[in-house]
Amino acid sequence: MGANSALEHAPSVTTPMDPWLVQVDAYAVNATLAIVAVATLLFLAHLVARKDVFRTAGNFAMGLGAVASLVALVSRYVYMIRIDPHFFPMSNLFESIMFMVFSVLVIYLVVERKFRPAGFGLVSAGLVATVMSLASLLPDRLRDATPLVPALQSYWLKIHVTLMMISYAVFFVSFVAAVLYLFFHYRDRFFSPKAVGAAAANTLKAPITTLELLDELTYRMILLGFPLLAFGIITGGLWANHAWGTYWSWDPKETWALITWLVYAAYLHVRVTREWRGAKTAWFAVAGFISVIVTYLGVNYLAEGLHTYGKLL
Amino acid sequence: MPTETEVAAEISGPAAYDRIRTSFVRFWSSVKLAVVLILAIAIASTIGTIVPQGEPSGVTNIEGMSERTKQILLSIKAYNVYYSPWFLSLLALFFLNLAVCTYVRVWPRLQFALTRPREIPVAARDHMPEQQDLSGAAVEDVATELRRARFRVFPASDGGLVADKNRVFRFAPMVVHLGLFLILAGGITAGLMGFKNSFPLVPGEAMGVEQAMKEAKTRGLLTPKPADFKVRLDKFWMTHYDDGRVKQFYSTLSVLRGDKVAHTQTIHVNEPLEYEGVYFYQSFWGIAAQKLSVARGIKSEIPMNNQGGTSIKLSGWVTSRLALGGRELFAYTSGISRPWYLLDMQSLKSLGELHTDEDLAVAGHKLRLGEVKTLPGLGSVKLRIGGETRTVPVESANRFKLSGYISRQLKVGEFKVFLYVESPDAELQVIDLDSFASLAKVPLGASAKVEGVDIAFLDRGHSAETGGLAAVDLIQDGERIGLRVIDLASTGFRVQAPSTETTEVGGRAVIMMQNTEPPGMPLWIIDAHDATALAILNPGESQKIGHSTVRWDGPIYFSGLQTKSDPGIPVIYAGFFIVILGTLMGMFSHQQVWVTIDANGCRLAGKAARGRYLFHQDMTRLRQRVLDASSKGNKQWAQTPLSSTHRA
Repeated sequence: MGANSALEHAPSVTTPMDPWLVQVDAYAVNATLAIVAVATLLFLAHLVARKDVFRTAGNFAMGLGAVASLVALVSRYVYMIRIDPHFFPMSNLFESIMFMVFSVLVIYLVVERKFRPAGFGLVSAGLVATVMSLASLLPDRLRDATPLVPALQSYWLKIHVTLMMISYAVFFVSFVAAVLYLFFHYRDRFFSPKAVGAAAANTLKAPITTLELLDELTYRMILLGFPLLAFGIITGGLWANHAWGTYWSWDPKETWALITWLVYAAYLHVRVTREWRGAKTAWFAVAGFISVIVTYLGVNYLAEGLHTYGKLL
Repeated sequence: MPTETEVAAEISGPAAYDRIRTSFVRFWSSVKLAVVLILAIAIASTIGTIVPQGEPSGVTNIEGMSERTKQILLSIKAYNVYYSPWFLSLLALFFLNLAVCTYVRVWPRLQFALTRPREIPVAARDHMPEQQDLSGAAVEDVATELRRARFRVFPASDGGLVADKNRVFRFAPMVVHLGLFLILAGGITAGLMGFKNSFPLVPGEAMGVEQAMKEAKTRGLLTPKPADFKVRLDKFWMTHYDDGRVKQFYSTLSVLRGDKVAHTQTIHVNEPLEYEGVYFYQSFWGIAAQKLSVARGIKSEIPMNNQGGTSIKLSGWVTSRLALGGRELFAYTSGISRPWYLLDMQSLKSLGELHTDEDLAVAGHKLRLGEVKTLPGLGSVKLRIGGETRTVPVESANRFKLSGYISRQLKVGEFKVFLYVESPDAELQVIDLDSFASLAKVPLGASAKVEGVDIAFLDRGHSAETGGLAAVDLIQDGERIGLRVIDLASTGFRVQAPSTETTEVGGRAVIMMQNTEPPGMPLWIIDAHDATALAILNPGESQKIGHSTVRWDGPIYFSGLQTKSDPGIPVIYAGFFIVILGTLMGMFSHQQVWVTIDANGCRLAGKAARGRYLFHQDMTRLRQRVLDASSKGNKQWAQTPLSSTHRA
């Protein structure tokens, strides 16, 4: 028993659906995990054998993975809109993870084409495979497609949640770049300090090092994610104002989204000051992504609010 | 990139330098300070996500935290962090920092933007991060390709070129800062000139806007008086999904000016009504009253005044669980000859009353009430105190609002005690008369020492009256299923739901409770004195309570509306838009390029604000295009293939 409110999430119930599309959805989800796991192995092979063919194959696998995750989302959308015309494949934790994985894979392919950073494929594929594996362990009530409660029946849902998830995906990629930066930075520091000293003495017009590339990639990703996140938070506010008259109520999820935005704003300002360069800014980027994880998943365990949709316990 | 101070000094002269030198300005225009303040606000904001906001009880109710920590949290107003003086001061400092930063930088930046790109000495060009060798290229071709790449190209005094691109995007931070100030202004306007309130309406009821504003908890000092009108609820209804969950709920509202209906509109969640700058949102719903019919058709509506919920520790007996049709069920009764109800364990939904003479259909099975086995009541207990055997009479403890049996006072050694037994088959408790402390608990057949005196519990003496329920049989599809029965006095079984006040039905004082979720919950009618559930009714069902037969005709719903007025909205929305614009602008890089002519052709030096790599790719492509264009051009005059001269 408990209190009632328009804002509470109703318990999930499986509703009868078109069996063929359900199969397609399930296969596509499993295929995504399998393909990305294979990509990880291919990138590992590239690391060991140093043959370009492995990297190309890995990238091809990542592309296939993007297609598979898209198929999963589209099939889910098609069979659910017959039951609920307002449906959008991001109404629970699992669906939002699938969308984020799709976005990450697309961004990966674009970045790989333009930048080709060292180790990028391996870390990206590895992390995506990890995320997919954890997602497959989610309980049914967070996976099943469910019709929307009244508060979610709005076109704003599509805009707000999509923007937030895309921004998370972009920050995910910035996190990969930052992690790679830190790896190479500390590896060089501990294993070849003399080379580091020599590199520092180079003039600015020396060829661009891996570290510089990763630093710029992290920066560029955050420059992209920052407006997306701002837009996501703002559309959340616009929607809240339209639905119940308050554009900001210091709800834990709203607040953490703002905290994430503030951490990335601090990152951007830190880059302006000369003194904090290199590894320190990379750590800032890592801190920003931790904030993203808290915003996305952690708030479901904190004080109750409008957004406690995906509690795992 | 030259620092702001250098630019300012160069463009505006020493006066600007002095201005910046003032230590107040220097401190408050620091970007490092901005980083510190931004992070401080971020960390401070996390407090409100961990401590429930609203009432001080949000802090005091935290489990597992020391009193000292709680006191600290209370003193910093952790339960209302975002409106606490220190948090607001932090925000004020941040905006001060933002204002001074922007003020110091905006003028030099404007001047930088409005003048031509500067030429820099050749020596400085060699230190630029981007270098391209354009040997064999004509400077006109370079100019053409630069323009094609959307650079603004100017001839330099030495015959070369100076060019830049995306200059306006240097203002991205300024734009974002402007947007933040608009958001601040909008927020202050809302706080000063807006109001917000929520209220329930039953069909037919109306609420005046002026009254809503007066009663609002959030109302600004300068809030203007709203127009004189009322909002009346004409109709309220809900739609459901197939499984019974609420799909959407709707209210038809009429705006009344005086007695005339000025406007009618149906609203639902996410679709509000706006009238004269005041908004009405469909926000929540609930049960306003319960409809009952008593014999002779007397109907009454009992208001559900305790929306927050009443919590009652229920008395009576429940059976052990029964699994049927994929659900876990159990049966409940409030007394020995009282009706038995079959309930769902998880939702406490009533599946109906169990009878001995007719079947209850549940999930394809037929259930009937079988034999009810009672415990014999307790009349006395036989003890050996010290060496002496005594039989002590006990009586029902009901009149002390306890379950079980109680004796008169006894003397054990120097102590005055009495005996207590929770139920006819429970252990004996020896309780001190003055302090009510439990001195001993003695199971049947055992003994214990109380202050040196040995007490042995020898036997029970039964009375003629029944003492309670022991077990009950249910007959499922003809088969007998024996279930244990547990006295709720010995376990804690709390029900909590929105409820009525204590009312009189059939001569008995009762409280009625009904929950709204999950859908289709029954009405519980609970005796106010002994906390037994006298009836658990589904809509339309009847039960004899006291001297009346009562039928439940269902609930009356109310529509929950949220109303507000906020003149700051246009300002805040403008701020939102400008912040997004500014952050998008930040994605583009200001690029500067200097082209020098030398003996072999041209040389390009340049830099970009957002990083080298992509700029390098662009410049490499540009170089290729320039060389292609120049070689085509040169083909016309390449009489002497060894010559690589070009027209200056």
